[in-house]
Amino acid sequence: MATVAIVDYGMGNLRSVAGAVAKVGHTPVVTRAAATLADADCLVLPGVGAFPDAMRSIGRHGLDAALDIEVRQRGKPLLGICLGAQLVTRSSEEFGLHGGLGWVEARVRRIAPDDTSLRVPHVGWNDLFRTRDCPLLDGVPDDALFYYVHSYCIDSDDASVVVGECDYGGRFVAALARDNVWATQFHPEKSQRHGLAVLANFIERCH
Amino acid sequence: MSVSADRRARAGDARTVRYCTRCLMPDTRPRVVFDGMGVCNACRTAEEKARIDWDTRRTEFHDYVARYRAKDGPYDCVVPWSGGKDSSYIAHRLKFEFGLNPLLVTFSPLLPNEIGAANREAFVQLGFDHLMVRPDQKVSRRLARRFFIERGNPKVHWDAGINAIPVQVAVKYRIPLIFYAEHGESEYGGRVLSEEHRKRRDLAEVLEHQIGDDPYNWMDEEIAERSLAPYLYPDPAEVEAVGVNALYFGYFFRWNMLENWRYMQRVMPSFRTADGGRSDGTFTDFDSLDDRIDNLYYYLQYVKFGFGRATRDACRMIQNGQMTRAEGLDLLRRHDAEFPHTHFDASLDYLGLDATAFVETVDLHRNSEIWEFRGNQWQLRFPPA
Amino acid sequence: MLRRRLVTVLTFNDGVLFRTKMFSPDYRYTLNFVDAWSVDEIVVLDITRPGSGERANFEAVVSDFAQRCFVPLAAGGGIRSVDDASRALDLGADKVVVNTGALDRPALIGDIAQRYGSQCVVLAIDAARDVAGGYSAMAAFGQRPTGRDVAAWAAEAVDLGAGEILVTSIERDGSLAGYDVALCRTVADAVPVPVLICGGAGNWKHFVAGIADGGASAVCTANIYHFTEASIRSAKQHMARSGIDVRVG
Repeated sequence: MATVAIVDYGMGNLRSVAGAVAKVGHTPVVTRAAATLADADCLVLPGVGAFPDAMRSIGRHGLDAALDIEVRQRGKPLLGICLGAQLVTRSSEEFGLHGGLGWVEARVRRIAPDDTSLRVPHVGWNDLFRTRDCPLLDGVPDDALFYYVHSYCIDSDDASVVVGECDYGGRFVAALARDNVWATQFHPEKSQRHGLAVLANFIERCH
Repeated sequence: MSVSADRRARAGDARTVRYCTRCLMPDTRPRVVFDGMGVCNACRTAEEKARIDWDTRRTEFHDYVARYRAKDGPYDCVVPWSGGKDSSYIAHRLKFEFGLNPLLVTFSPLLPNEIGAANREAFVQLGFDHLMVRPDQKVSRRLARRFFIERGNPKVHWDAGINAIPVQVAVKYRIPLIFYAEHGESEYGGRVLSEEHRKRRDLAEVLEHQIGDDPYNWMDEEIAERSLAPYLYPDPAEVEAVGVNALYFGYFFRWNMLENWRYMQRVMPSFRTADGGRSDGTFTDFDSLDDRIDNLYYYLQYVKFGFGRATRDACRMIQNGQMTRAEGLDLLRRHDAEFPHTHFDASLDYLGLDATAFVETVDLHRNSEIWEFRGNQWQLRFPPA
Repeated sequence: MLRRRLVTVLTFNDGVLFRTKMFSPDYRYTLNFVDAWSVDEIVVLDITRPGSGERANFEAVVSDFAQRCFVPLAAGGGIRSVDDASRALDLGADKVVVNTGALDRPALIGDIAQRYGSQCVVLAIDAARDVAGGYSAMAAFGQRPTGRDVAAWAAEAVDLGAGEILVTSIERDGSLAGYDVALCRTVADAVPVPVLICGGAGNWKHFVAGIADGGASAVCTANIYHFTEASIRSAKQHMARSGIDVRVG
């Protein structure tokens, strides 16, 4: 049973993520304390809201430094979810160009489908097209659907970091992995049994 | 995700149950409305009956009959008929007092009771044409089981059937006039959408209040659309083309359950009553005798809403001035909680459930807001007083 | 591609699950049978009249659902400030539903959206037909006319930051007669965000009509008899057979 620290930077559905971690049999700890992050087996970076606010909030709580130590230096596994997934990239164009945590070679842009019948935000259940094998998706069927809710999405020129894509007015990155950093644009804690499987995979197989 | 056992055990719910200050109906009954004096709408309706000019209503009745009785064909009206005291009472008066020729239409009980069947045969012998519809029992049992488990009511589809079949017959035989007995919502406590609804049966109201769900939704791996034929209301356009009008006899002639019973005893002395002098869960022996599964049905009502058959019967009698509230209270304390022993095995067999599954299902429907487990048994949190 | 959603809407009066009919609490029902893995999203609404109950009872409901649901949960009813929204989100809701609070103070939408993001804010509009044949937004449990055209209000709300619009027909509520598809289409044509239609769902054909004819992104049902796994699955299978892309199984 692993201890999973859920990073509390003031933005995010922490309770849902914690509930899901408990549901798959592990111990969630919601925290912003560096020491607690250090004690955890792995980290989850959730996120709901706007990119610049999130980065500011992380900075304000000194979490950028703490996360840098745990993730970059100690190599602790981290899963970014939704806005949290966007935060691990280099930059986002939401409300102007802002820098992210920069751990993965990818960037965030607005969803702007050519097909105007596609409504934004992208809300609901959609596909995950796997682009390569990855322990994050072990045992998850190809036709599994996941819950997405976002107005901005992730692009990457580096295929090696892309694990899965989704298509909504064009393809975007739905799941990322690089070294000890993992990320999903969809909400595993809101995607019922397949989502819970992804979360369990992260905790148990992504080392 | 299921919201289950631990919610049931939650203690200290602040919500209470109120009882009508005149009869004994609790506010858990679906759609009952209590006024500022704590009196329920069924009691108010009963009060109004004393103020209604029944002569005017009688004249109205004759007007409707003159207007809507079939212009050709042998039948003047359809009477949805169970063979019980209420529908037999109206059929008898329509024929022998008012000279109409009704076609009696029965949608078969799930588990026909031989008492009910004997009463039907005896009544038909008095001189009536009778159409009996019994639907595919594989389908019926499958639905009964499903609804018993999901809704705590094995007769949801039967409700749909008793509503649909008389109208289907009216449309097919081109008989515009249908006479129902009484408007349940007004008589027994419920939402009356308009004055017109007291007189004329509105299908939308029935679908929303009694059945609660569209039979079209009941198709599954084993039930195809055509198997739902007995339960589906005919196309509204066809109903309109025939000019079907479904009226409540109880709107035109003062309705009184006990009086109906006395009338039937006079005109048909062979009318059989419940064995043993009373039905399970109540003190009466003359009501709801045609379906053996009814005991289970009323018991689940007790579990879901906290009032049983004795309460139901007592309320009606109190409203008609045939019993005091105190007498009613005494009777319901003695009978409401009674376990439905009679026909229990046959009912479970019909539903394909064993006793354990039965108990589990009952517990799932036990409303934790009104029940608590105390002294090793389930007790009402707010018993009637 | 993005699937259409089937959403269950549960209304609570002082924490007790109630069916509604034309916006009046109709009768109470046990929660034991709200059990649907196949549902796509759940909305819980507090319909307690002010002064008639304790908010804590509804908060317990939100908490309960948040703990047991692993699908998105939206909570609403009486949300009039950012603090109210924060409270709902803290209890575990993913989205908040605002209605009268936003009609009385439209800036509420932007306030919540700026703090939590647009995808967190659902504007609910209760619609009644007006004398001219159009649709007008009603406030306070469908009682207070505002004179505001529904489509115009929806568009304004999106500009202010609403991420989705949940439109309910007051007349159709509890009727089983089908959605007001024209109402849905009017709103769907007026906004670029997802529209959820509610009020009147009776049989599965209505769900199809809501999407195919009404342009809804999600169809809602508040009919408690639809809240079982068997019903939801049956509904979605019907929708799939009718050519609607939905998540099944």
